[in-house]
Formats: sequence, C-alpha cells, structure tokens
Amino acid sequence: MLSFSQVRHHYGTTQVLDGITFRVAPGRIVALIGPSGCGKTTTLHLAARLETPSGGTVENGFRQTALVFQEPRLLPWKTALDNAAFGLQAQGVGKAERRAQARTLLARLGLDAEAAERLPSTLSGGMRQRVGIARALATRPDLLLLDEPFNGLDVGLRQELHHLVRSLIDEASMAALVVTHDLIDALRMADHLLVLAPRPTHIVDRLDLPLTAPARSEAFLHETAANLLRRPAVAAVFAPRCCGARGTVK
Amino acid sequence: MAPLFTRAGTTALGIALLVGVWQAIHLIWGPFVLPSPAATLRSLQAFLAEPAMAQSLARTTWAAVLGFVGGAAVGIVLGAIAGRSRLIFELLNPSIVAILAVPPIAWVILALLWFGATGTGAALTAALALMPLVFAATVQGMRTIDPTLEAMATAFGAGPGLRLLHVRLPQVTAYVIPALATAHGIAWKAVVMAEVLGAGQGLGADLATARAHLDLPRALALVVLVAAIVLLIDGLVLDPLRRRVEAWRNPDRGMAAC
Repeated sequence: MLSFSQVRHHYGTTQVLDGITFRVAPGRIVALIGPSGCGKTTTLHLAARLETPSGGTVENGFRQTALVFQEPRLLPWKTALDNAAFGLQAQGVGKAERRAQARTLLARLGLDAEAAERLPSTLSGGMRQRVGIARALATRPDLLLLDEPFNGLDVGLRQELHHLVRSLIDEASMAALVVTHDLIDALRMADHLLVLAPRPTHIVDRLDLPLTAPARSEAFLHETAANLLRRPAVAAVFAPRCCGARGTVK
Repeated sequence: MAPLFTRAGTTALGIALLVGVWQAIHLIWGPFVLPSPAATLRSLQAFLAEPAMAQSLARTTWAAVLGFVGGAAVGIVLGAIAGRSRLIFELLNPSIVAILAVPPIAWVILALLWFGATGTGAALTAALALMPLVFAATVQGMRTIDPTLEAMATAFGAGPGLRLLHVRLPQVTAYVIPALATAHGIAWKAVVMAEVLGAGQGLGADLATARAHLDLPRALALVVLVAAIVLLIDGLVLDPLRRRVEAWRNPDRGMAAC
C-alpha cells in the first residue's frame, strides 16, 4: 500500500502541495490529473522517495517501486538494451541475465534486436519512451509510477502504448500511480481518479471508475470526461486561462 | 550510397598529398632548403639502424609518457575537485592561468636549473604544458553532469559505485578524452623541445646534433619519426576512444565514422 496522509511540500518559501491524502492499494491504478505545473511530478517524486515531504507522511509499503519518467532519462552512451537493463544492474543482476530479461521486454514493447543495439540519440521519441518503460518493468515492480509517460507522442502511438502498458500492469498484478494532464488518458488507464488544482496543489475531486479498463469504450471515456467536466470544481481546474484570469464554467 | 572514400583511404590520400607538396618544394628550391622525401627516408633508415637509436627513442618516449601521465593525472584530479566546488575553482584558477601563460621555453630553462640535463626536466616541461588543458576540460565535464540522470539512477536504487562509473564518469570523460588526445601531442612537442635545448639525450638531442652538423636530411628524418610516433599512438589508442565518445555526443559524426 502507498499512502499519502495530509502531505505538504515547500520549495523554499513556495508551498507546492497542501493536504494531499490518498492511497494506492495493491493491484489498483490511480491517476493524478491536473493542469501542467500543478505539482503532480512532485507527488510522484515523493512516492519514489526522491524527495522528502515538508509535512505529513508518505508511507510506501510496496516491495519494489519503479518510476517511468516524463522525459525517459536514458543514458546516452548506453545502447537501448543496456538502458533497459540499468534497473536490473542496480539490483546486482548479472550481465547476461539482465540483458536477456531486458531483450525480452523490449521485444514485447515492439523494439527488435537491431533497435535494442542502437544508442538513444538514434531512436525516435516513442522508441525512447518504450525503453524507459522497459527499464522500469524489468525490475518487476509491484508499484509502477508513471510521470506523463505518453506526453509528446502522436495519438495512435499513445493509444497503442496505453493498451500495452495497461496489459503489462494487469499481467503482473501491479499497482500504479499515473500522472497526466490528459483526462481521456487518465480515464483510459485508471481505476480511481484524483483531480488536482494548483497553487498550492490540493485534491478537488475523486472518481471511482466502474468498468475494467479493457471494457471501457471510446464513447464511455468521452461521456465520463464530459460528466466530470460538468462538476464545477473540476471545470475550474481545466477551464482555459486567459490573460492570467481563471475562467469559470457554468 | 557508399561513401566516396573510406577513412583509411582519405588518410592515405592526405599523406600522399603532403609528400607530393614536399617533393614539389624540393624540386623548386633544391636540397639545401628541403631534402627530398626519398633522401629523408634513407636518412631515417640509417638512423634506425644505429645502435644508439633505441636508447634515444626509449628516453624520449619515457619522458613523454611520464610528462603526459603526470600532467594529465594532476589536471584530472584538480579539475574534478574544482568542478565540484566553485570556491576551489576560484582558488586554483589564477595558478592554472599563470602556468598556461608561461611559455614552455621558460619551463625548459627552469627545469634545466632544477634537474640538470635529465629526462625528468623534459617530463616536467611536458606536464606543465599540458596540465592546464586537461584541468579546464575536466572542470567543464564536471559542470555538465546532468542531475536528472543522477536522480534516475537514485530512483532505481543504484549504489555510489554504479552511479560514479556508469552515470557520472562517462559524462566527464566525454570532455576529458578529446583533451587528452590534444595533450598527448603537446607532451611529445614539449619533451623534444626540452631535449633540443639542453637535456643532452633522446631524439631532441639527436636533432640538436643534426642541426650542429647542418645535416638537414637527418634533422627532417627525426621530425618525421616523432610525428609518426605521435600519429601512431593517436591512431591506435586515443582516436578509437575519442570516436567512441563522439558516437553518443555527436551521433551523426559518430555513426558516420563507424
């Protein structure tokens, strides 16, 4: 179980998180949704123990946590294969074994043997992101943290990767905490949705999704998104901002 | 499409062009200005057959290697410390700039006074001539270490050894290796210069003797020998390392070179 309880966080004198409370139970997928720059990544970094909260408590009882970064942060001097094996290398797994595991995962994610031997700078954005996902999944986590992992990819690739990652998560019965600013992305993947508002970041709404992810049709996703946006608190978060003033939806 | 020239082919063409220009100058101005490539080659063969050649070559090589390794080691260690701390950098930088500003010839004279006509003095001259270059490259490499990669490694539970060897070191060596390649050439130049001016041994001393005897083919043969040694070491050791770094720093150049 991952549990945030009344978590506050400051950068210098700026408060970025205020009273964040939620839980991620084993096997469940929770999405944090909100506009860009509203502290979602900070929340994820707190879960990954990359930062320590200024107040409240973060308890992570999962055995193995792995993080998929927004920008995949691959080591540019290592091949895609060695990048995918880096998490296993950090765990002390031998070279031959970690490379074999990484090769299998890369193939599963659509990177063939030729692409696996290439340096990241010669791969496309989608391929680099797949390597970042493989690196995280190779460590066999029971909690996967995903920081806008499909950002900047075209629509077709996003959907393909969504289905692929969701099926890999389901196969291993992992829990996941997904950060995104795209409502449809969140509805497509998650079992539970937390809507965040900025300055300082706080939770304004929560939603449990009734159907399992594969059973959700495009119509269901768009209908649920429309219903969610009719809620005033959620509408205020996603309303277009013009000239510094936040718009309102009636 | 296959490239018009392979890398080895282009290098061979460049050498052929150089020899052609050399021969043309020899034909225009005569052997007292520039001996022919053939005469120089004969003189080089004669020098290589002399019993004392091995000792000269060994002394110069030893001084160049000692100066290169010593200067590079000091430059890397000081650069690594200065790259992590702005205060240490500001403390060290005036001394490094001062060493850089002193002409190598002045170090030759000081080394002669300190160590006499020995290989140690030549090695010290080389070390002082190349150290500031390696220092500056190491500082720059240390300053460009990407903290997001460090955070990634931490998130995956990488220990200090793995982070140092597989995350930080490759970023620093991307700057240090090209500097070492340049520093290697400087080491040989400085050692030969120190030997010409007074070390009394090594290839530089042979060069000074050739000058005294106005033996131009032999002087040129020694210059060719030193240049060939530098090119050989660069081609066999330093260039492969530099190209490996370039493969990820400048993927287009690296891939094209592979």
